[in-house]
Amino acid sequence: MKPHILVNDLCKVYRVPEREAGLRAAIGSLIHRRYRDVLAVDHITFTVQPGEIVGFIGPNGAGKTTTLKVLAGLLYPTGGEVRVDGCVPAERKPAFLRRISMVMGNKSQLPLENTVSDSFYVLGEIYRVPRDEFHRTLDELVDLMEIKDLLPKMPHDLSLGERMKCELIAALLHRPRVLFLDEPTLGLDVTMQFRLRRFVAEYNRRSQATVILTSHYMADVVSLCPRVVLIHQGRLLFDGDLTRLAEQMAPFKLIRLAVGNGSGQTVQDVLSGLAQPVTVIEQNERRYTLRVRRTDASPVTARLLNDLPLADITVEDPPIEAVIDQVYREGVNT
Amino acid sequence: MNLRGGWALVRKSLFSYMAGRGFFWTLALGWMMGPLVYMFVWTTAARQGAAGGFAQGDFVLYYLCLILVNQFTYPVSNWTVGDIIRVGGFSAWLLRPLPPIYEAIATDVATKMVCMPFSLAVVAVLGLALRPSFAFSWPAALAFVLALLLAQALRFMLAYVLALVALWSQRADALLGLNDTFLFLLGGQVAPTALLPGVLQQVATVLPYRYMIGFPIELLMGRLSRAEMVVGFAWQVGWLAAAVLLHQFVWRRGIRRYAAVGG
Repeated sequence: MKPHILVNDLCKVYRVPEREAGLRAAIGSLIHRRYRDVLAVDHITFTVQPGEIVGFIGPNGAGKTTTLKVLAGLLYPTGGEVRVDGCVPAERKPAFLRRISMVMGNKSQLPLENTVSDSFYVLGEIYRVPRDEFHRTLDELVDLMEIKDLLPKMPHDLSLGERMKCELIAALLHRPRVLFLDEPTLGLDVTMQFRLRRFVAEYNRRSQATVILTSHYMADVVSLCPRVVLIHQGRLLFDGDLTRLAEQMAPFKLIRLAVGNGSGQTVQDVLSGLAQPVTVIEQNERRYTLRVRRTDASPVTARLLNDLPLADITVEDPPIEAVIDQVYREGVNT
Repeated sequence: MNLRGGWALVRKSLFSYMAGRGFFWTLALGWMMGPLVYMFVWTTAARQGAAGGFAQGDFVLYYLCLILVNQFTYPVSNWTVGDIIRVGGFSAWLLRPLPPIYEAIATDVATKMVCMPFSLAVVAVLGLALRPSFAFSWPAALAFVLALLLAQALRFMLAYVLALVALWSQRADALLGLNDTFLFLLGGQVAPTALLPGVLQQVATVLPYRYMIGFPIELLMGRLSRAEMVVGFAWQVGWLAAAVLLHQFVWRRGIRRYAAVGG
């Protein structure tokens, strides 16, 4: 199948002015300004199929928003090839812009001095949505998001969560085929995050729109994105199933066990007798959390079951947040 | 051309002005203050006799017209476009299937729709009270309307191009301030260009500022010969063409440099 989004060897360099601290340097910079090239996106390649929801994750300054802005046509790439729905975003042709939408969690796109309802009307007109279709879509989205009572309000009178619901609807009124969501749940409480996620999932299911989502909340990514693209310092570190991310990035498992009564051996005794390296990462009375290499999980579990009177034992992948945190701190561990 | 979208943007600006209630009428009143002060200064100066061919009644007529021409041609969006680029709000404009100039034009049109009826009413009252000397003629009125439309387009384009400089420097305010100063000195605001001293008058004839404010008023008052009118229109059209070309150049270069500030 032809990819809906194609990113081939994308590179983006920002040229930023810099100077030393102090008045002398400030005066000097008036005459001779120094610049430094910052490589924000470092030759990344990936594709997205029609209807896919892809989580674009990485720490602050990783290059996620820059990549999204290039895909939306807001930034010119320094190098590489980018195509979205068959168009070159940098050309910013109206036909392309009518097919995409971008929601920025940290920036409101609704005019502050128009009611929500008026803003929706203006957007419908700008995107030339046929009137019947506009009203049908608006009714559907308003019901789905349950925001009927917000329509006569001004955006500055809305709470953050209410505003973000309206921003999402505003972005979808023209039924975009590609949706870029840049931290849409930023600053929202857990309930509102949950409702927005459910809304995005439902919109994707109904419209088969392609969605790229960036978020620092792993709950967003886990619940919405079967596939993630991990980017760090501008470089693509991982592209694949979320379930595979833990396997590839953190090649260890966690064994949680609770020791019962009546054993001659302690946990420490058993662990010291193992050939495999095991790290105790948490201990609370008779409960232990051990970290072992993925390949060692079975033999270690078998030995623990055999040598200790266990009340409970589970073997699990580390939490995705811990994996991501490890990648951010230590880089790829393959 | 997306006229449906453009008209929706005009309506958006109108909605926001209505939300701001009397703010824009206060602004319009503020814009009138300068011309009214110049009018009273010049009518006082002309009390002893005509100054540079302008009698007291001529000054009254000139400055009442200037209030209307200034408001009609004032590019209200020139300050807002630079601000929007600087704070990163320009990205929202770029994401829409409309060139950003639509936003600026729509804001201008909406402002005029809100402010002009108010300004016309104030000027009509002042005209009845001050009774300026005015001899109406259709040719002069038609020439005025044409020159006024060109003046509006020229003043808007130049201010918009200067505001787009924010795509590079992120500080276009200084250029816009300089532009306003030249307009004040050479556009016919501080004094009709016919009253400027020799060299300044020649400079004013060549630069675009006279063709943004003073030239249409001079036409309406019948103060220009046919030859001066033709030359004036030639300068006006020439400067407008230059501003449009400059816009193409600045836009193409600027958009490449735009770094989505604050995004």
